[in-house]
Parts: sequence; C-alpha cells; structure tokens
Amino acid sequence: MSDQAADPFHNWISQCTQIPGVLGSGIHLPDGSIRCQSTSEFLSDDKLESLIRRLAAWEPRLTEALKGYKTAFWRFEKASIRCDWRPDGAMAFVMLRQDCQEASHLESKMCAFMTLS
Amino acid sequence: MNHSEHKRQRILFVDDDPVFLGTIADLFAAWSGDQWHIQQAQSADQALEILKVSAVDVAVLDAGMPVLDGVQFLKILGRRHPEVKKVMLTGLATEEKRSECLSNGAELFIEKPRSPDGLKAVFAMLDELMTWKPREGFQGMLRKVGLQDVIQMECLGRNSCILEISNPQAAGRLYIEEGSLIHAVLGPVSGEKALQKLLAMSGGSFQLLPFEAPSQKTLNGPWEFLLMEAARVRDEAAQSRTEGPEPALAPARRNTRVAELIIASVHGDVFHDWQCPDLPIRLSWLQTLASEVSEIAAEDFLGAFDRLEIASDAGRVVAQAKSDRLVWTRLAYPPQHS
Repeated sequence: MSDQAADPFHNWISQCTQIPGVLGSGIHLPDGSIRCQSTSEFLSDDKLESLIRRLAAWEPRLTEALKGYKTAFWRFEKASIRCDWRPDGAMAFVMLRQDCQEASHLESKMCAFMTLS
Repeated sequence: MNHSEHKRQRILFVDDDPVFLGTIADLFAAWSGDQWHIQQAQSADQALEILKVSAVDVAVLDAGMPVLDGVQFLKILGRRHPEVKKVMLTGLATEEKRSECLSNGAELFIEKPRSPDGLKAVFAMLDELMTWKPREGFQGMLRKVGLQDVIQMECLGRNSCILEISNPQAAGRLYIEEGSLIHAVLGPVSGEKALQKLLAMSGGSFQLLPFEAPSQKTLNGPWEFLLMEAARVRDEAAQSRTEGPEPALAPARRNTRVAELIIASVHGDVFHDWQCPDLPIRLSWLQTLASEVSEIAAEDFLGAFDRLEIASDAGRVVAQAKSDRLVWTRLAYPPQHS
C-alpha cells in the first residue's frame, strides 16, 4: 500500500477516479505494463485492463489516420473513453459516463499526466 | 472567448426518411464538435411531442412529408412555437414554394443536399443561422434575414441581381448571375477581398437592384465556398483579436475546414468521396474500426459505438462505424497565428 501511495502513476489514477462520472482510469506504459482502477460495479479491473491493452494497440492505426495525434476519444452510447499519448509512448486512459460534465477537471488531469514520472 | 463557454445549440430535424435523418444527425453532430444537440422526428406528431418537452432553437423541416406536409407544419409551428427558427428543406425547389415558405415564417429555404459539398453548405448555413444576430443598423428588406442569408437565398434560387451594400464609411456592389457570385467591388478593391470586406461590414443598408452585366468578373467558384471563405476570414480576424489558446481537445473550434470526407457502406461500396488521397487504405481502416468496436461494444456497460475522434494540433479525424454505413471526416484547423 505504501509503495502504491508513493507511485505517481497510482496517485494520478486514484485522483482521476475521484472525478464524478469517471468509471475507470488507467495508464499503459511503454514497456507494456498497465496500472488501472475501476469505479464501476459493471467493470472489473481485469476487464478494464483488457480494454486499455486493446485501445493502446490502436496506436499505429491512429498514426496512420492522423499524424501528430495526441488524443483519441472513443464515444459509445453510455460512456466515452479518452486516451492521451505522451511522446515517450505512455498512454493515459479515462472512461467517463456519457452525461459526465466534469471535462474541465479531466483536462487538468490530462495535463498533469504529461509530466508524471 | 473560450469555446467551452458557447451555449449548445438545439436543433430538431423533421423528415420521414430515417436514413437521411441518421446521416445528417451523425455528420452534423461530428462537424459541430457536439456543440449541436440534435433531435430527430420522422413525423409532425413526433416533432410536436419533442417540442412539448424540449427547448429547440432551430427546426429543420422536410417540405415533402406525407400526411401533414412541411408547409402546413411550418404554419402550425409558427403559431405554437414562434420563438423557434424554422428552416425548410426541399427536394424540389421552385420559386412558388420558396415564396410560400418564406412568407410563412421560414428563415431559410434550402434544397436538400445530394452530395458532400451540399451537406457542408447546409451545415454552414444552419451554423450561420444559429449564431446569427441581427446586425445593428442594417435595413433588412426581409424579416429577420441578414445580408448573408439574402445572398444565400438569391444563389439557391439561381437568381440574377445586384446587391448594393453601403454604410457611412463605404459602399460596394455584389453581382449575382443565375445563382453564381461573379463580381464584388468595394471602392478600389474587387474580387474575393471585396466580398470579404462587404460581408464583414458591421452596419449599413443593402438593397436588391435588377441585374446588369458588370464590366469584369472577379469571382470564381461555388458560392458556398466563397461565402464560407469570407466567413472564415472574418471569424479568424475576430478570433485573433479575442481568443487565447485552445484547450487540448477542442472539438468545437469554428473555422474548421472539411479536408476529407468518405461515406461508404459497411461492405466498402463508396457512396461519397471528397478529396480522399487514398481511398482503399481509408476504407480498410474504417472496416478494421468497425470490426474492433463491434467486439468492444459487446460489453453492456459501453452501449453501441458512436464514433472515434482523433485530435492533433492541426486537425481532427472523426470516424463512424454504424450498422449501415462507414463515415470518415478529416477536419483541418486554420494555422494558428502568434
């Protein structure tokens, strides 16, 4: 627990999940490892990890679609997923309820992710 | 002003063709960066039910609906919801129909789009209508109609006329021949520069004069693009005066230009293609997306897939994979001025 508390990635994920409307959050690191946390009873941590891995694998296709991309928004009927990439290849993942109005909080969290180490 | 502070515009499309409604709703939602709250109704009854419970800024009506046609519905809307701006879409535009709709309270009378360019023009006109405010001092000859609307109506009606525009500082003329903008002049300036200056005038009056051939023709190209370009230049000038940097994901940027558009069936049959540099690669990409999201969306907590938006500093791609079509739009932002 103390190791986790000292981990800036874990702290970032934990802060994201406290934003109202966030269903889950995670980080895919360049070495392929994933840290994540779900706040939804319908979404286990295993399912969340699998989804993050799946969307991270889209990185080459996103480059093919739009060079220099920074953000991808996957919009579904009930939820939206935002993925932001850093130049080192790390990807932040946040899943929000569709009616979530906390975009400004999320924006600052995504900015903070860019400088996490 | 930050774009996130813009009020979300509420628009209701009424048409008995569900495929047209679905396509237009998806595209326009994407192009507006979700700044339009779009509702759809397949009949006048459905539309009235929606209007009972939801506030609507603009209602776009199909003139040729069965049972209660668009013009009859326009009259009912005028009585029950005078605050709602009304736009008529028609498959067959005639001068008689145009007059009937405008005299019954329609703000715009537009031919139904049959191509990507047409869709973009309709989007631009509706966007203009929703953000339009009467310009102080203009002596509009048509109720609630602004200068740009008059130009659009004259062009849509394939009319020929001269539009004389003046304010205390300057006076100019815009020549329209059979629905095409052919010449603009403002003092010593002519061509697109003059058109942009005429449309940027903040007050004055305008009047329609009978057409006479100008001594020269200084404008070329579709009127929709000329007007959009003039609006872009005007907005860019305003933006550089008033705005700071955009947020990291800014779907609601004005002035975005549609740089690429594909509408295809799920099997890869292309319905519309505009400026796509490599169609097979894009189609394959869209089909991969469709396959991927059908698996992801099998998870109940997400629901049906709507679209994928990919953003960079230079533009945005919006990709949709629906059960009956695949849509790819690439939007380009104007260069940022420091």
